[in-house]
Amino acid sequence: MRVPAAGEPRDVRVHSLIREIATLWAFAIREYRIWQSYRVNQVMWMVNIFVTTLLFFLMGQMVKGKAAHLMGAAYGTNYMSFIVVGIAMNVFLFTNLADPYTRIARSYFNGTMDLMLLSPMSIYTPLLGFMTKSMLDDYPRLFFVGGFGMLLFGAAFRFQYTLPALGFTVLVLSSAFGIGMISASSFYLLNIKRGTEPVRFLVQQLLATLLAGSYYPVTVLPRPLQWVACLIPHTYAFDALRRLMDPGAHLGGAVLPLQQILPWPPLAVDGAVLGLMTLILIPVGLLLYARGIEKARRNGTLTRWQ
Amino acid sequence: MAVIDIQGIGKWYPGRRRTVALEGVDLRLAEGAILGLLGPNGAGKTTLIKILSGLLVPDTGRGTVLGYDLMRQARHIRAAVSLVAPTADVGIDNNLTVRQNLVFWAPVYGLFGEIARRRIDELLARLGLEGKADAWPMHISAGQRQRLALARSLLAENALVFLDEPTNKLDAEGIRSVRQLITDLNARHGVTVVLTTHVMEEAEELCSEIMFLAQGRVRRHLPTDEVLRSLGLVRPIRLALDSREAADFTPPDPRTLRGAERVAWGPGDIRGRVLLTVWSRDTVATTPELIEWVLHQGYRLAGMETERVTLEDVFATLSGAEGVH
Amino acid sequence: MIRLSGIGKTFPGAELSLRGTKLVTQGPALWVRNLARAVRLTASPGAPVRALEDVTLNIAAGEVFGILGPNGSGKTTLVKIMAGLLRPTEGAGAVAGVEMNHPQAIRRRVSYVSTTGWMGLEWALTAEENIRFFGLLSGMSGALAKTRTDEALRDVGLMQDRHKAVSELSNGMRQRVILARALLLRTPVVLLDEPTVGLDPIHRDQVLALVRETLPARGQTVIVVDHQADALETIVDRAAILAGGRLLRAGTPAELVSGLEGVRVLEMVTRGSGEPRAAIPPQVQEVERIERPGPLGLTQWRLTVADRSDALEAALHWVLSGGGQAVQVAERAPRLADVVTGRLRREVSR
Repeated sequence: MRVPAAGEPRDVRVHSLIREIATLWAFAIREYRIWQSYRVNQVMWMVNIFVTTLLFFLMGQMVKGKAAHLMGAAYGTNYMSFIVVGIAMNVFLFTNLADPYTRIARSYFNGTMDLMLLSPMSIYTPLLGFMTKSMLDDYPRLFFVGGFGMLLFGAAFRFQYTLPALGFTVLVLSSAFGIGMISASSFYLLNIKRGTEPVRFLVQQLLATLLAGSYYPVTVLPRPLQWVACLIPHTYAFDALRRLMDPGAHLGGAVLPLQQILPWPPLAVDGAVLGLMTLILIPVGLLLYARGIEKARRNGTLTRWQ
Repeated sequence: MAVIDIQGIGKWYPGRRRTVALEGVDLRLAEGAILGLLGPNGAGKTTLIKILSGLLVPDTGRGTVLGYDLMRQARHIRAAVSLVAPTADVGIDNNLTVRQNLVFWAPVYGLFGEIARRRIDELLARLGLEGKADAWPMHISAGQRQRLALARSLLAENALVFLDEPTNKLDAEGIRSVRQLITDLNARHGVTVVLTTHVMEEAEELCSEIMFLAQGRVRRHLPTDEVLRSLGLVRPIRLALDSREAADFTPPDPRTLRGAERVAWGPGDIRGRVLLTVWSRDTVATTPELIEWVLHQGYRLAGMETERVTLEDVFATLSGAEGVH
Repeated sequence: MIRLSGIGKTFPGAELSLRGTKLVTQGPALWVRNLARAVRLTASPGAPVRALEDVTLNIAAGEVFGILGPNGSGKTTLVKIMAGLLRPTEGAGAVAGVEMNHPQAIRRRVSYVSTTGWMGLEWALTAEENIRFFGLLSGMSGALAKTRTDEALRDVGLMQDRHKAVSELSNGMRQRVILARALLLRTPVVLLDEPTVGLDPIHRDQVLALVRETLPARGQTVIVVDHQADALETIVDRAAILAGGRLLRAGTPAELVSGLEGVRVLEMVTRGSGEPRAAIPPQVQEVERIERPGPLGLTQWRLTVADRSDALEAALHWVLSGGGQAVQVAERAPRLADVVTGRLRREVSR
């Protein structure tokens, strides 16, 4: 407990990296404890995943013949596999895109954010820390959705491109998190404390739900809408993962409008766009979030404590 | 060196009418002080604490807190100070037990492993929460939650602590333990404290200096005993003395009693007592001397009441004069 | 106006949690996910908590009635039962002529203000709008809502700040906004849970005057909860003292301190004094000594002494036998606070 003398500000960054990592670990443990403390949680969690998969299996049964025709050649012939990739990627995208705002808002109203802002942790650590919950709760859903799909409902996957598939998953996660941070920053920047957050609404609730092609390929949409679909990472994520994972799918053969225009192989287009989105959205997200905090600090809306 | 050193701090809140939250606030606070920020609701106390803790950017003025520049190094200030706000207990995670709540925060303040465990145990014990370590926050009382919030903020051994109405929701027992804790932190660990309270008695008891704010401006900033004297208010000390003959009674000379202005006396009730009133500018100084005089004269002291200038009087004078509605 | 007989309340230990419900745009799966979250139960049910036991009370119309007691004595539970917000586990009663088992009807006849709970204010609106819209929502005409709002704002001393948004107000002002809101409807019963906590001395006195004069003059029955007895003593007609969920005593402030005749309370503040060295004199019956931490090095004494003319001097000699000086001495009759905070409770509950 020493008051630093003038001219030698104690640099909090010296040990900060180790401390931030330890803090993230503490977040993970906390989320795990919370998750674990609910007795029926794990069972319900499993039932929930099962029912989700079952639901789309039944839908798949219904539209089987038609779907195969609509799917086109690039994504193979198994609609169940097609839909499982859609659901699984949606879990990723939804979590990384929509959770940051929700969690920031909740921790603000809980008063927890006040405490976090008044501590040595970086302003970004809570954002990342909250995502550890997704790693525990949401990401593993992916494997269960795939597992149920394969074991019970006749979905099939090929695993010869596992490494590229993983690479694409990382790009999907990071680009969606970039949007997630932009969405979270509007909490402070636009002072949207309740109601609908516009970024999240636009990208997830509007564009992604309508256009991204979780349940059908974008080719069923009118041409102009296909171009709009090219603006969000979802479209490329579904395209790439389906090409890599679905049996009978082709790596070649352009489907998305952008793929048709650019002279590169479709997967290269997907990778390039997702990479570019990550490179742009993450720094923009970081910047806007920091700006938002500063703006709130000027307006006096930073803390729940007034 | 000064822990807080600010000059000309001002803040206007945007809104339908641009309202002054603070204007021209200067403050130099030495290490080890306990500063009481007093004033009516809306005087700017919370705004000042927010600015000093790096949560709010002032519109005018400059200065340093813990050596960090208020404008450019707010992030460092936020990292280096502790603050317990009335909403602090709201920030407690209801999904974690009392201990788990503290465990979560330990690495944030660079406390790991055995060191963290020992410090948490020590804090739980010091705040009387050791029996509640494994309880859920919703099953403990408001006072215990407040103390948990305090324990959380004390995990970091920060040199500067801000407390916004720290005893607001507590009962007598809770109030006492929190006040004791504040004194200990200050006396034993040299922690500098800035606190707000509406309980004037609390400010008088804890604070070494008082800053009185009204409508965003500093009205007084003085050591506690001087602030009490600064109004120049005169208060009576009333005594009932048993004296055989009221006619024989000789009152004390006010010039021989420190702080005394004048004396008045007369025969009292049917029991033949003398009622003596000594008017004093400084009853704290006059009272012991007066008692000594009574005992020395051989009168029997049958009744006594000191009316004293308190911070409540200061409060009424300083905020009343400025037309608080 | 309020009649309670044998009221008791036990809280179960388990709690249902609706934590973390979020909207999932995955078609019908949305419902499943929300359902899963809704039925989560906490893993650690606590033991049942007995908050109130066998409380019987009658409060007359137009009375200002205080409920006193330390934290956790069941004050808030009792008031919530009177407000129709909690169902008692046992006992019966009526509030404003409505039996306990019609909480809806009770809620229409009472105004309940809790300064520690959820305020329910719209932060983007001004103080005046918050109150006036509440009136309109409760079915008042525009003109009536306007006059009542102005009156209520004046009553709580917020006229000057009435056009500020709630987000710009300080905590104490917000507290007065919810108080003003409760004054709007002129319900027969007004329940105030700790109305002066966090208010500065001036506004505290203003609120106390409101409770003492304005509300009874309008024919309203007021129930005030507080743990600071000194403030309540001056404004209530009668009060009840709760401890550990039980009703210790009820009556006028004078009745509550009766049984303490022949006793005086001596309050002293000394500076630099140690433990008394002399033997305790017979006139001193009870001693409470509080070291007042802080830079002034003060010790506060509260002695219960016999009502005799030699008691003060004997007590003074004894206290000062440990050295130091008496900087403040006040000898007085026992007060309600002496009873509530347990200093003299033994005598009273005998």
